[in-house]
Amino acid sequence: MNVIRKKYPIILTYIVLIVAGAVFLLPFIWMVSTSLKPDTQLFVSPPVWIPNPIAWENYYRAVTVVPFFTYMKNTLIVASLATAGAVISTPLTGYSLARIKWKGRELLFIITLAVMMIPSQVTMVPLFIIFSKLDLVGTFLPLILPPCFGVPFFIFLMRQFFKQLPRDLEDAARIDGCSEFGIYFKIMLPLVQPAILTVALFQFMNSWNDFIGPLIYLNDEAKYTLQLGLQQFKQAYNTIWNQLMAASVLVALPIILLYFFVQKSFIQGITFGGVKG
Amino acid sequence: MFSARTIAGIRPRMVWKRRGIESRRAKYGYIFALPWMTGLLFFYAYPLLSSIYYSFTKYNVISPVEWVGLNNYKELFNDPLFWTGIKNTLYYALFAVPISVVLGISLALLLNMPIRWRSFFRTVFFIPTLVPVVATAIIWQWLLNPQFGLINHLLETIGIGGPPWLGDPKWSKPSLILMAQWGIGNSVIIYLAGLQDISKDYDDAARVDGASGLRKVWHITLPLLTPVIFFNMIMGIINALQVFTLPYALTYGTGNPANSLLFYSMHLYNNAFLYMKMGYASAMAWILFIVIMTITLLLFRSSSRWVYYHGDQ
Amino acid sequence: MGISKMLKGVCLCLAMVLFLVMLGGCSSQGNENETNQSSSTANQSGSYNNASESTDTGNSQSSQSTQKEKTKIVFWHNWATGPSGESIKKSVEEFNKSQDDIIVEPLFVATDGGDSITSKLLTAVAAGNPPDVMLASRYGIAEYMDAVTILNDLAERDNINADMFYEWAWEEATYDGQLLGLPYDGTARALFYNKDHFKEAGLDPEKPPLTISELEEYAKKLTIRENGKITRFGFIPWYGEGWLYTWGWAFGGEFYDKETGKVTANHPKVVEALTWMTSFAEQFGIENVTNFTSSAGSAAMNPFISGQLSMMVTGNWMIAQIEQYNPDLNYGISYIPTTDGKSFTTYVGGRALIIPKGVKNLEEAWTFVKWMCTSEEAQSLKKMTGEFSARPDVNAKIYGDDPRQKIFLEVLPNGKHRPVILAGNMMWDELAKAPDLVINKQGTPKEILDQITDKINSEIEKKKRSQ
Repeated sequence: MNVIRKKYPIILTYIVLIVAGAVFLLPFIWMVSTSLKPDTQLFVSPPVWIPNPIAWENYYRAVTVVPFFTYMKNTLIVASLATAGAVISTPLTGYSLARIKWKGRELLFIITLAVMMIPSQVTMVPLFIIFSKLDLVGTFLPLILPPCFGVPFFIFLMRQFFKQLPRDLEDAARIDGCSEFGIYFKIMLPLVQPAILTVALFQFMNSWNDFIGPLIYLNDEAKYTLQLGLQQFKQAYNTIWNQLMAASVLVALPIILLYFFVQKSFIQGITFGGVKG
Repeated sequence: MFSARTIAGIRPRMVWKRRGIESRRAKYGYIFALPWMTGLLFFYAYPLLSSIYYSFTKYNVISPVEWVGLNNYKELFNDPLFWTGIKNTLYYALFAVPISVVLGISLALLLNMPIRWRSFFRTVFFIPTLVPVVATAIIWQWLLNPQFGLINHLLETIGIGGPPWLGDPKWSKPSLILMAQWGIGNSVIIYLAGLQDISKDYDDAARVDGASGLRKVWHITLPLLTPVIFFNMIMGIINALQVFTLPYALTYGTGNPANSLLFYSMHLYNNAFLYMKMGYASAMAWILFIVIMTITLLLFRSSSRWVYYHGDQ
Repeated sequence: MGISKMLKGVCLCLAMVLFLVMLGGCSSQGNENETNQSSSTANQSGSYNNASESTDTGNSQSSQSTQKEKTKIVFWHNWATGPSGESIKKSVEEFNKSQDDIIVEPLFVATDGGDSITSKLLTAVAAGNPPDVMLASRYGIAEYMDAVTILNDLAERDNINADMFYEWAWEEATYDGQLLGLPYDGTARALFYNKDHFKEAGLDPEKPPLTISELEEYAKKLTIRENGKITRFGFIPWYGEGWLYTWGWAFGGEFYDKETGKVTANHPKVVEALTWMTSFAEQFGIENVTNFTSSAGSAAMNPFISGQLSMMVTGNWMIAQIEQYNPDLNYGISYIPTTDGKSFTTYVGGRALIIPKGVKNLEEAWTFVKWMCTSEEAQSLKKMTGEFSARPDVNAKIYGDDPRQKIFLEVLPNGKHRPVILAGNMMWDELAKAPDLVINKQGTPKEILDQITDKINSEIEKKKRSQ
């Protein structure tokens, strides 16, 4: 009896996950399938799921029609520096907002929330003018600098995570003679690892997928990023769907791998977090 | 390093000392927040303040700015598309946000179970957020295709004549809300991160008490997850009220059929960059800002009643 | 060491190094922490330096080309690949070879929705660093004309005038007598029809419909119903390039009154055209039609190419697409039918080359624009894209012996262009939505068009007042 009662929810879980997973995988499968289709099978209906013959050359063209690897390198530079910046800056602010009482902290928090609520379309032009006055237009810096100082969304996220940590931990650390920085780096940061990983992943993804930023700030095709590269498969009256999808698969793969590792360390986080003594 | 038991023993001694420590710590509050305050000043304050200013002007980015007072705001209230945008956007947010919260938590709970292939399943639900929006738009147009789409095909086999989905103003928004759930992967990650943070001790305690699975979720896991749920709700509302990319790609910016997919941000974008009415668009942005801010503040008000912060006790 | 463990997963080496440095240790006090803090900022700025170094090398590479004594001209366009991309590349190559003083550097700029690259242009102009030359859709230029150099004087000096171009090309590049750019190319529309379907339905494949009533009659004959469902449509007025502009002109309407400077989208003939378009849908069942059009989606899934639609109004670029996706399609091209079966016309679009305001090398930019738009050499390259030159004499040379282009060449001189007004984009959006609004019962054709006309006219007034 007992065994059955215990197994029942697990089986149900599998059923739900498999069905829902299939639905969620559809767009990606379609994308991969399209990326392997010859031109003639692109838009037949009912749609073809398994192309015949498989057009591997789409992938070859995808990386040769545009300088794919140059764009990849540029995107990697931008995304990893921006990620490093965000991972350093946002937990600092989140911690300050969540766990230290100081005058003006509520105000700063409200302003942080508020700046997320203004659509970027109207701040784009003034922001561009600032970077232009700093003579940084045409470099990667306008894409890298802002996250190094903080990203409101992540700051809010970090604040929520820091806020739910028990007070006792830092009190104990203080007894042990830890400085404020020691408490932050040695005690608090390890406890919010999953949140930091989430920030890292999201920032990397944001930079990786950013289109409008590179579009308006970069002025040299040798510095273009992947998202600008993808646009090049759209032609005047025609989109080269199979090559666009092949390139999109190649663009998405690194993030999928990154995610795979990040969520693995979610599990490791419990083991290595050190809270459980 | 620190076991729960030793910490519990120290606690009473600490309370009286806390006040003095707090005031000494205030300095560090500023130091920790300094990078962000600098960034806020450079990359946010000036653009924000200028957008307030522009909302009272006629400004097309190129020619000199001309002060028009409240004209943009007055004009907005007489713009039928402004009201259409508001109506559509609120409709969308009202349904999309609650659905995504429930769905997101459920998925995260399932994905947090000790199952085989856990990494694989977690990756699966994240992948749709990585498919380029144009591709997402195209495949949905196929799935929801009234004539030969998969969904109507399935409905037909069980004897239901499917609706025209995106072709009909009555069905287009529900279709979009359905599509938006595909991008739920991001909030699932955040819920998962939150679930990781919930101490295993609680699980053990619950097991000793003999709480059943669902009751444990309801009485222990969910209350502890409330700070994260709260976060995702706020972000969900902000994003829903700014919904742009998918409907823009889906309708090529038109909001067809019959303006039923014309969302507030799309109208704003068109005004800013197609019609060269940056002042007008800025006014739109500030009205949107006030709406979002009001809703968010109300939620914050309510949060003390249902969000449980461990650190606040 | 939990932190370093966790970061291994993300491969953020930079952050990891930094965190290790900051792990300082618990017993360390204030001073040491402050040094830690400053080392972190040093490290941070170190990473910035990396970025600026790599960008610096990029700059020096591009600046090498300027070391030769040629003047560099930056040219923004939005076609990277495909025939259009090739034609841009080829044109620039030819130009750079043709003289010794100027070197043109093309830069692909992705469109931000639709056909426009205005968000990049606007930000660049606002910050004072625009490109020297830009390719732009003609009808929208007037809306941002404050950002472009008016070319009348240069054109006059170099004897470049309206006579060299089609009337529509020159007029669409002119606002209120001011020359906003030089017309570069043209696109035109016609009726494409499936000859095999005509034979099946007992129609003469060499006699396409010429009048609106013939078109309706043929459409009914060509439509196939199976079990109450329409499996093939004869014709859907607004599918493809059947815009309200297309039909408004085919019905003899006008959208703009030059005398008064007012938009006339509620011209009786335009109302008639919209009424016809929408009543056409009613004949076949609105649900059937919307099902079909929303099923058909984007240009590449074209139902005409796949044989689900027998006739459609579309542009000359469709010829190349049919060749690519269904080369065996047996089709013909004919005039867009009119009410009287005479006075055929077509709706023409196209681009111009503009010189933004405040460019440093105006003369050199102008030399390039002039070469692109007027020289036979450059204009002949339009053949690569299948679009038309803005010059009648060049089209006669490059397309004169192609039977598929016959109809187009015939109607091009009577081509109609969208009005050059300060709210061209808004007018386009509003008119494009009109059939959809009528079908969904948001108002009668007259009501909808009256609203649009008022809205555009008051918009223009508002914009004029500020000038």
